[in-house]
Amino acid sequence: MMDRDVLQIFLRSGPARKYDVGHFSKRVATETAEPENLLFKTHFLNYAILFKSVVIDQSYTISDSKPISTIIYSPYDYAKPGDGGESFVFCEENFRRFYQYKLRSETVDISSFSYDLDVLAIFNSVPTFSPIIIELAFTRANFRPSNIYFDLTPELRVKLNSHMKARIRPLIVAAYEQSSCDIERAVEEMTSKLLYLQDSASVMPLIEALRLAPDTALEVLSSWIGITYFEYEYAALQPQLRALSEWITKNAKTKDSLRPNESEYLATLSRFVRGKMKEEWARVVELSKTYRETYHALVFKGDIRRFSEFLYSCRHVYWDLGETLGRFEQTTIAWRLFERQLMGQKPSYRAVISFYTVLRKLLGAPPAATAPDPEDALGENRGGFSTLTADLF
Amino acid sequence: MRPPPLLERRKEERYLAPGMVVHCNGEPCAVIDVSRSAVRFVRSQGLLLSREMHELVLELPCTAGVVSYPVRGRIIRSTQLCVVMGYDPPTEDWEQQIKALDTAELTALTDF
Repeated sequence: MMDRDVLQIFLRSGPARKYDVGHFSKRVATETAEPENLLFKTHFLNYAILFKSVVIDQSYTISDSKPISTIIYSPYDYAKPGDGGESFVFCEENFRRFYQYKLRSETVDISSFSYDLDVLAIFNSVPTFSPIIIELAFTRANFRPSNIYFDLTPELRVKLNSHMKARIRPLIVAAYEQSSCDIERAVEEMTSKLLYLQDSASVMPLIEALRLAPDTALEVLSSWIGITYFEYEYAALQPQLRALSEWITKNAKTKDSLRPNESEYLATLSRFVRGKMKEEWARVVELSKTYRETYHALVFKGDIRRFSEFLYSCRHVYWDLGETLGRFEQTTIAWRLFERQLMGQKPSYRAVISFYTVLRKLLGAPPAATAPDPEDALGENRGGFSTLTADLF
Repeated sequence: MRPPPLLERRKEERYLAPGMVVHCNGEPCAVIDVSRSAVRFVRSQGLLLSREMHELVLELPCTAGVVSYPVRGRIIRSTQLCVVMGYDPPTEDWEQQIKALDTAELTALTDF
C-alpha cells in the first residue's frame, strides 16, 4: 500500500533527503541549451528524483555501516510527482534490471549504463544530498558536471569553504608539528588538498601523522570533513527545532472540544513526538561534543591519541548524523507547511492528529523502504517497479 | 583606554575565525587561531622574521567587506609552519568581535 503522506513529505524535503534531478535538468536545458551538459546519459534518469532513506533488508535489519540508501524515483508524470511512480533502491544489480525494464530491452548500451552507474554511485557514497557534500563527492571522484547541479551560490560556497578550511588548517598544523615527516607542501595547499581529497599521495604525510590505516584513510578523512559541514547544518536547524518543541508544548491546541479519549490520544502523540525530538537531539549534541573535544585536544593540547580514536568511529558518526539531519529537516519542513495551512487559526483535532502522525513516522521508526525480493526484483508479478519500495510510497 | 594584554596567551580562549587574514609586514597569511592578545598564523614562504617587532594588520570579514586593525606584533613563537605573535587588543570589544566569528561559537549546540 502506498503511503502518500510520506511521499508528499519526501517530495517536499530539503536537500538532505531529496535531489530533484529533473529540476536541475530543466535549468541546464534553459540556461545552457546544450543537452550534453545533462548529468545522465539516460533520459529517464534526467527526470528522476533521488531520495535518501533508511532501507530495511530481507532480514529486517538496517546496515550498521551504511544505514541510508539512495532511492531512484521515476514519477509517471514529472509534472505531478505526487501521483506516484516507479522506484528502486540503488545498487548495481537493481539499476541494471531497472535500466533493462525501462528501455524494454535485454540489450543494454554498456557505455551509457556504466557512466550513469558511476554517477549514481557518487550520490550513493554520501549520506545526504546537501549541495556542498555532493560537490565535494563529485570533485573527489573527478567528475565535474555543470555547477547548476550543485545549487550553491558563490557567496555560500565561499562561506562554507571558509568554515571548513578554518577547521582543517589547525588540524594540519597540529598533525605536522608532531610529525617527523618532511613537510614539502605549504599548509594552505594541504588544506585545500585535504578538503577535496583528490590526490591520496599528497595527503599521505597527514595520514601517517594521524596514524590512520592507509586503505581506509581517505574515507575516514572525508567522513570527518562531512561532520565538520554537518556542524554548520545542525546549527542552522537548531532554532527551528527549538521553536517546534516549544510550539508542541504551548500552542498545539485544537479548536474542537475533545472527548477524554481524544485528549489522551493527542497528549500521547505529542509526548512521543517531543520526547523523540529531545532524545535524538541530545544524541546529536553528545556526538558534536565528542567531535569538538577530540578536535580541541589535538589542536590546542597536542593530544593526537584522542583525535585518532574519534577518527576510527568517524564514518559511523558521519552516516548517523546525516540520517538524523534528514529526519530533522523533514520534520521542520512538515511543521512549516502545517503552520502555513493554518493561516493563524487553531487546527482541528483531525488536522493535528494527522500532522503528529506524519511526525511520528518521521521521528519514530525510520521511514523505511524494503529492499526488493531478489526472486522478483523486476516486480513483474506486482505491476513493475512501482511496488519495489512499497512501504515508502 | 585599551586593556593590557594577558601575560600567558595559553590561558586565553582561542578562536577559529573563518575568513580572518593577518598581514605581516604586508604579506597576507592565513590565520590558524586568534585570542584576545595573540594570533597564530601560517608562515608564508616569503616572510622574514629577523626583527622582534612587526607591522600586523588584522583583517576581519564583515557584512560590508572587511574591517582592518593595524597593530604592532611581537614574536612569541615561530616554527617552520607557523608564527605566533602577541599584540595589544586594538579595541575594547576585540574579544567579542573575534568570538562572534568563531566556528565553535557559531555552531554550538545545546539541549532543549
